[in-house]
Order: sequence, then structure tokens, then C-alpha cells
Amino acid sequence: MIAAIRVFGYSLFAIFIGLLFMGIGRKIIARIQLRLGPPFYQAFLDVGKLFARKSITHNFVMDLGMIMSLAGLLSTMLFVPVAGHMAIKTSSNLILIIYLMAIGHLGMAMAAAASGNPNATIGVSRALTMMLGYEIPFFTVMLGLIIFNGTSSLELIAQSQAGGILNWNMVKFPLGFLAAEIALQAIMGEKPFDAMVAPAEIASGPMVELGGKYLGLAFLTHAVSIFVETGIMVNLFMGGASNVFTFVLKQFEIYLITILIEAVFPRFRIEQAVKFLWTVPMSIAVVQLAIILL
Amino acid sequence: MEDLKANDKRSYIDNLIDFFRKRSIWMLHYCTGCGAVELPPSMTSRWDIERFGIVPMATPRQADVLLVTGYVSLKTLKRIIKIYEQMPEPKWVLAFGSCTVNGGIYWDSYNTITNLAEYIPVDITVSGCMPRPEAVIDALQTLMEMIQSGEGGAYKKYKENYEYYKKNQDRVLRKTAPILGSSETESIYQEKEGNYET
Amino acid sequence: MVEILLVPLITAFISDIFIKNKRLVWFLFLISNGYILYKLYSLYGKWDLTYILNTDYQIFGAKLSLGLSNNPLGWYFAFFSAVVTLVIAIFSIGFNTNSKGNVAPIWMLIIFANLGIFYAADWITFFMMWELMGWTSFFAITNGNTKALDGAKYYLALSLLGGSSMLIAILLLGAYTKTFIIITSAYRLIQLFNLAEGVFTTILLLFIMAFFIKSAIFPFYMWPSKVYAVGPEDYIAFMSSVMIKYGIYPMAIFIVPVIGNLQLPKIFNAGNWMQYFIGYLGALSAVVGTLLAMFQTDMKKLFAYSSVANMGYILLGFASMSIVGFEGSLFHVVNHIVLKAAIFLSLAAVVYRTGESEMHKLGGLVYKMPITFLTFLFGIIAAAGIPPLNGFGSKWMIIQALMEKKMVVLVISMVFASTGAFMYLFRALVSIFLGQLPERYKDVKEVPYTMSIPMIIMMGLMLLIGVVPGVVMKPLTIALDALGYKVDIATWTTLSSSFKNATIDLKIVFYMFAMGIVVAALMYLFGNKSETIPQHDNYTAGENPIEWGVDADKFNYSYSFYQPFKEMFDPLFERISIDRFFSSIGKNFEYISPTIQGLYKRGEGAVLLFSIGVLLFILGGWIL
Repeated sequence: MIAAIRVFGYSLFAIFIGLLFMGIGRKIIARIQLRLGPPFYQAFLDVGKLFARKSITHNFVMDLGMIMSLAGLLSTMLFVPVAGHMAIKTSSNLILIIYLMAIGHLGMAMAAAASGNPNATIGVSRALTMMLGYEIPFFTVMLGLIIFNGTSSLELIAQSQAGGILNWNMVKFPLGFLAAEIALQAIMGEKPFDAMVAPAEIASGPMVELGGKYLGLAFLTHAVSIFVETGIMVNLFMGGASNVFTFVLKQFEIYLITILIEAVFPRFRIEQAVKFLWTVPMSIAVVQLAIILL
Repeated sequence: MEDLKANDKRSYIDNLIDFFRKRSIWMLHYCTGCGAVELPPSMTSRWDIERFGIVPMATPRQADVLLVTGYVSLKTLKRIIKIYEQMPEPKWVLAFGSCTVNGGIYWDSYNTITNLAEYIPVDITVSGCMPRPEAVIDALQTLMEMIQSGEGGAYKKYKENYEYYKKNQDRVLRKTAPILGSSETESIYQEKEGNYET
Repeated sequence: MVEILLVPLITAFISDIFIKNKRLVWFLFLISNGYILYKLYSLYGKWDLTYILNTDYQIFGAKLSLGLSNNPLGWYFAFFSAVVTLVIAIFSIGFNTNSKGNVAPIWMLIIFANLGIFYAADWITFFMMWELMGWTSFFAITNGNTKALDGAKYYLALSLLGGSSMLIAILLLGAYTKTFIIITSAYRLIQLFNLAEGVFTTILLLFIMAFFIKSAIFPFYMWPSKVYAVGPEDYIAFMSSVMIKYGIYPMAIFIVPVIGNLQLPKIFNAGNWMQYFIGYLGALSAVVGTLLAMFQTDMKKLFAYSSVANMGYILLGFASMSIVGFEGSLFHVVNHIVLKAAIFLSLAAVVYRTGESEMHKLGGLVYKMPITFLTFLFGIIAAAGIPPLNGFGSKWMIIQALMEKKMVVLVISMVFASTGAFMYLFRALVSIFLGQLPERYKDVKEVPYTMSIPMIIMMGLMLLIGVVPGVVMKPLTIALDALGYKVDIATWTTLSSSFKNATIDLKIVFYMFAMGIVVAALMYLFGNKSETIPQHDNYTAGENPIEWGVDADKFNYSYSFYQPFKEMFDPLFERISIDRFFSSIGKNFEYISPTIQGLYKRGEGAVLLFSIGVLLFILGGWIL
């Protein structure tokens, strides 16, 4: 029972932080473009409106897929240590986290494809291609850290960096951090790597038929995925944190970098994106891996 | 009078939902005429309507408000109706400029409608030819007030008086049927399908 | 012990006699299968059971005997493959109701050969069963279908190549180690390494070639796609799940212990060259299989290449030569048997109802066949290695083992392949079941109970193994323990690797996923109500697709799903094509010798030729 309450609390916390980040991110992009921008709590208003709205569905797969995507991301989130805390004490295995994250993507893709709109299917095809693009460099960086630390537990990797900024993997392995940061841009689907959404080209891709609460669930999924992805980065490279507040602050730093890149870049075509990811961050990651191995 | 009574009964939850709706208007701009050119300045640095939570959206499923930005030709009308019907409720329509009210300079065109409100329910019409971004923002703010007070319910009218709208739509859309071949959509469908079967 | 092989054989003969009486035959079939399963279950733990039929023959000084033994690993393979084979066979009843022939005798023969391979104590028995399986497959694929002959011939030719290389290897092995018993010969072969390295390597490579051909590992990866595309779907389900593992089983009991016990110099502190040889071939099959699977249009071909990729994972686990990787590989064998059977059963159901296997001509079948859809969904989630279902645990173990051994290239190609797996698996899901339903499939119904119940059983199995991996891992670890490996007996729900703090509890993963579902469902219920609208009511920028002559087939985006991605690889595939290499060999072969070609065209000729060859070999050995 207590475990269930903890899980519920962690879920709400992750959603809250994710939505807050989304709102602040929009504000920052607006400031970069010399605009006033929406209030920082705009994402909450959007989600509130979306859930209050009527919506359309094409079949039960769409409902199932949206629930599956949020559930997948939430369960992934429960495996990411938040400043050393977890909802249920268990091994925070990196490979497990990477694979669990896929169920969220799969659910989302299923819901999108179930709508039967070709735009959605094109978006899904691009998103999966992009996934193959970013997974390889990101995994290569992780592999280096796993071999270096002799463990695949995210918690232990975070603990191994305790004691000051000089122990952070970010400082110890700057090349790895750089490669992971580029890959992270693609993981989050932010700009240069947002070919799967591309509103002007394929009508926002997977989201084309989502409205009302389905889009709301997609928003929440995105919020949780921001939380999970920045959380993984903080644990991998910034040494976790001693308390939740610092953890969220570090997460925000990671998100800020993403947002700053997002605000100024145009968009890659999908095959350009994959080529880029397989050449630039991948070669940086391989150099890093070679340094660790030798 | 009845509207006022309805307003009295509005619960706290309803007010909250209307607050959300008011502060997060997502628009679908159907860029028909010259009005579309006024939207980029309203969205970018100078006027920045995003500070009210108003952002453009890609598809009718996601959008709350449909912007019809200028004159509407018959072929366009067909698409507008389809898009409007695809939007989930609640939904609002903003008509730009005099073209959507009386045809504007196209008042005697054989191929343009003169009054959009005859075919789909329009919540707000923005005056001007073309309206300046200030006018657009003013209209959107009026829409926000209407949403908060629960007035903006033209979409309900569409459901109630569907026969009236349908009759008007059919009257003009007949003209868009292709001259060659049959005027019935059904037969077009069968003919086309027949072609592709072989 | 021996009755486990006699029962299916006798049943096959009896049901051949009463072939007209379908009820009796299927009754017999179920009874004997139930008996076999019960017998297999009771054999668990009795590892010292053997049955040897000695003969007076000697080949190259090695005594010829036919024997069966209850090898722990053989039991492990036999039991799980027997369970899945039974499910597929029950499915096959429903699948073949409309056809005139009765498939029960063939299935009994298949079960017989299947058990024979896993229970063989010596190489001669093993080879006989192996060949019996090859021939049975040939007839099952071509079963009254002339179109299938080309694919079957291709399979036959490769199979014969594998068979003859294995025969030569067995005779060499007999000549040098003076025994045909599998386990004994393995020990003696290791000693042979120090005496005659050349012979040792030859024997090993010949064996590996035979096994790789059967398991469709890299240079021989084309036969599944050619055979699966033409064969009957119910049999293909068996081939792709169980039969493709026949190369893995001898790898596990013979090749891996031999290579693992050699004292070879290590490269980069990670492994010796033989490990890398196996590992790189595995990695190549995984990567090439994945890439080719992405670009197929025929769903059976797609999953044929997916099988190739999965065999690659298993080899990667073997290549790590650590106990975690070995366990992971053997665990993946069972996982792949279950999930690939589930996928092919649902594909068979689709073909049964629509008669179409090209993915872009299907679509939207989820409305009509929900159970098939769910089976397929479970199957692809498992195949993608996503946690609550099986397939994850074994992939996780293999990746952990490779990471621990610091085989970075191998582990990166493994991750590449399993991420690429999302792409082709999802593409199949979208193209077959989601999207718009074409007009011609408006009357398609869900499959009958005889077919849907096996599919539901497979779903249950996938979930069971996914959440409680102990049902497979416990027998596996006990079997490995009995063989003398240093293993910890697995618990019901946890998997562990030798990394620090690397024990995952799949039960907790399942609970967390369930909680996630609850939270997400609460969110979903919290939202305003939604309305179900027809599938064709889609956002198309206000257009009516039908007016433009866009029917469901054109509206679905499924023909060249990964076109931009494919274009990246086009130069590569144009330059390198092993398929072309093989077909050029075939062409030259046909050009040079039309008589042999004639023999191959009529299956009997090849049988005759091959039997004569085998007879000559055995006679020659006896005379010597």
C-alpha cells in the first residue's frame, strides 16, 4: 500500500517537474526570440484544457496505445534514482531503463498509427529511424561509463562521482558528455532532430489525429520523458545529487542546454539526422570509449 | 435570460475549466485570403500572442479556434466545413475582414460566398480590410472573455440548427461538382474507384 | 527412455493407416502428444538414463553404436520445443481443416525427429535424425505446391551441403578420436588440439558450417526468407521457432565447451580468435538480418530475417564464453521459440483469412481480428525485448555478458540490432493490423477456436516467461549444473549478471509497469469523454481522399516504410550481395552439369544420389 502511494507520488512529481520544465522552456525560447512568452505555468493550463476537452478516437488501439505510452514512461521513471531515492528499492539497471523506455515509444507509435492517418505513420517511421540513430552513440557513451565503473547500475555510477565537481563524469569524460548531449537532443526530439514532428510538413506527425485527452496524455508522456532523460543524464554525468532540489536544478541545467540548442537551429531531414548522429557524436563517443578502454 | 440562469448555475469546476480554455487557445489558421499575412506579425516578436497562451496548431483535432482569414471561395468552403466538423468541441470560429461578412471586394463574384456565418457558425468577426494585428489580438481577447463568461457557444448552434446550415451549404456546394461526369459525389467515388481497381 | 521416440513413430504409422478418419487420427495425435509431454516431464532430473544399441561395425576404428541419452541440455531443448510444437500442431488442425490431406502423420514424424535430435547420444543417431528432419521439411514445404519448389530446392541444396560437411566432420572425428559418442568426442577433441591443430580446426569448421547452415547464420542467411515465403504457414511457424534452433543445440553441447576449454592466446584481454570468429559472424547476422528485415515487403520474409538476427544474438551470447552469456543464449533459445511461434501463428491466421502475405496489401485488420492482433502485439513486444514480456531477460543477460567481457564492437552491434528490431517489428504491426481497412477485407472474421486458443496459450506463455523467468531459468540452471558448469540455481523472478549490483527483479518490473498502467488509466478516465469515429474520418487538409481516387491501399503509408533510411544503405547493398554470389555459383553449377540439375528437379534423384553417397561412406569405413 505504501509502495503504491509512493509510486503515485513519484509519478505526480515527475509529471509536475516535466510540465514545469516545458513551460519554462517555452518562456526561455520566447525570450531568446525577443518575445514576452507565455507564463511559466502555461503547460499546466494546456494540459488542463486538453483533459477538459472532448476528443475523438478511431478505435480501442488508440486508447490502449496512449495509456501504454504513459505507463511505459512512468515505469521507466520509477527506475531512475532521484537524488538516490527510488519509489521501490531495486537495482536501477541502465539496460533495463533503456529497454523500458522503448515501451513508451512503442505505445505512442501504436496509438498514432492506429488513427490510420498517413501523416502519423510517416512520423512514426521517422521517429523509429531517429531512434536507431541516437541509440547507438548514446549507448556507446554509456558503455564506456559502464566498463569504467564495472557496473551497469545507474545508482552506483551516480555514487561513484561523489565528492565535488571534479569527480563528475562530465569533467572526467568531456568527450562522452558532448556526444551524449548531442544524442540527448535527438532523444528529446528537439530541434535539429525533430523531423518526426515537423508541423508544417507532416502536420505534427504522430500527433496528427490526437486531440483532447489523447493529446493531454501525449503531453504528460512528453513531460515524464523530459524528467527521465534529464534524470539519466544527471545521474550519469553530474553525479546525481544529495537532495531532490539540487537534483531538479541539475536536471534543469541539462534541459536548458537542450532548449538553447532548440531555439536557434533549423531542422535536419531524417536521413541527414541519422547520418549526422552516426558520424559526429558516434565518432566522439568512440574516441571516448577508446580512451576508457586503453 | 436563460443564458444568465445558466451562468448562475456554473460550478467552480466549470469556471476552472473555462479559465483553462481561455488561457490556452490553440488556433488553426485556415489561410485563405490576404488575412493570413497578418498572422506572422501577431505571432512573432512585435505583438507576440503567445503571451496569452495562443499558439498555432497543425491539425483541426488539436485546435480550439478556426481562423478563416479572408474571402472564401466555394471550393475552399467545402474544405472549411470538413475541417470545422473534424474539430472536437468546444470550438470557435474567428472570421477575418469584410470578405467573410459581405464578400468584400468579391461581393459579386460567382465563385465566392458573401457571408460565412450562413454556412458555419461564426463567433467573432474582425473588422477591417485587412485587420491589423491589434485588431486580431483584440478579437482573440474578446473571445477569451466570451469563453470565461460562457457565451462563446456558437458551435452548439451548429448542432441545433444543422438543417439550416446544411441547406445553405448544399445550395452553394452544388456548384463545385465537376461539370464533366455526374454531379453526385457517390458516382464520382465509384467511377474513381473503378479506375483504380483495374 | 526409448518409448519417447517409439510412441510418435508408431502413432505416425497408425495415423497413416487410418488417415481417412480425421477424428480418430487427431484423437490419437493428442493422446500420444500428451503422453510424450508427460514422459518428458517425468524424465526431468534423471540425467543418467541411456539406451545404447551396439553394432559390430567399426568406422575408422571407432565403434558404431546407436544410442539415446537424457542429456540435461537436450532435455531442456526437447521439453520446451515439444510444448511449442504441440501448440503449433493444434493450430495446424484448424489451419488445415479445409485441405484434403491430413497433416497429423507428418507432425508426428516431425515430433519424432525433433526428439531424436535432442536425445541422440552419438553423432550417427544425431546425423540420422538431422537428415530425417531435413527431408521431412523438404516434403512439408513443397506439400502439393509447385510454386514452393524453388525455395525448397534452395533449402535442399544448402541442407545437403551442411549434411555432407557434417558427415565428413563426423567421420574425421571418428577417425581421430575413436568414438562417436558426443560428450566423449568433445573431451577427446580438446586433447586433439595440442596434437594436430590443423585437423582440429578442420573438424570444428566443418561442424560449425553445418550448424550455421541449419541456423541461418551470416553467410547462409538467405534460405529462411526463400523458404518461409513459399511454405505453408503452420509449418513455417515450426521451422522458424523450433527447427532453426537445431544448429544451436549442438553448438551448445559440443562447440562451446570445446572452444571454451582451449588455451588460446587472448586478443585485447577479451577473448581468443575462435570466440571472435563466432562473435563476429553472430554480430554480422544480427546486423545484416536486421537491416534486411527492415526493407522487406513480405511479412514472412521480414520475420525470416528477424530469425536470422535472433540467431545472431544467440551466437553473441556464446561468443562471450561467460556463464551469464551462455545462460542468456540458452534462455534466448526458448524465448525465441515461444515468441517466434506466436508471431508466425498470428501471421498464419492473417494469411488464413486474407490469403495475402504482402504487408502493403493488408491493413486495418485490428477491427476484424482482435485476438490475432493481440497475439502479434505481444509477440513483437517480446521480440523487441521490452520488459513485461519474455525476450527481454535473455537479451539483457547477453548484453551484460558482452559488456563484462569488454567486447565493445559485439555489444554495440547487438544494441544496433535490437534497436533496429523496433523498426521492422513495428512496421509489420502498422502495415498489417493498423491503418485503413481495404474494402476487400470487410467480411474478414476472427479465426476459429482451434486457431485462437493456441494463440492465447502463446500469449500466456510469453507473459509467464517474461514475469517469472524462473520457469525456464530453473530447469536451465539445474541442467547446466548437472553438466558440470559452475552456476547458481536461478530464482523464480530475478536475473543476475556478474556486474556489481546487477540483479534485476522482473516481478518488480511487472508491478511497476502495472502501476504505471493504473496511473495512466486514472489520467485517462479523468479526462473528458471521447467519441469513436470511423477510421476513414481523418485529417487530410480538408480533402476527401475518395474523391481523388485514394482508396485504403493508397491511403496507408506502408509500401516503402523506411525509404529515406533505405537510401542510405542502397550503395552498400548494391555492392555487396552474398545472395548474388550464391546464385552465381548456382548458375555456373547448372550450366556445367545439366544432368545433376535434372536430378535436383525431381526430388527422388537427389534422394537417391545422397543415399548412395551415405552408403558408400559407411561401407568404406567398414571395409577400412
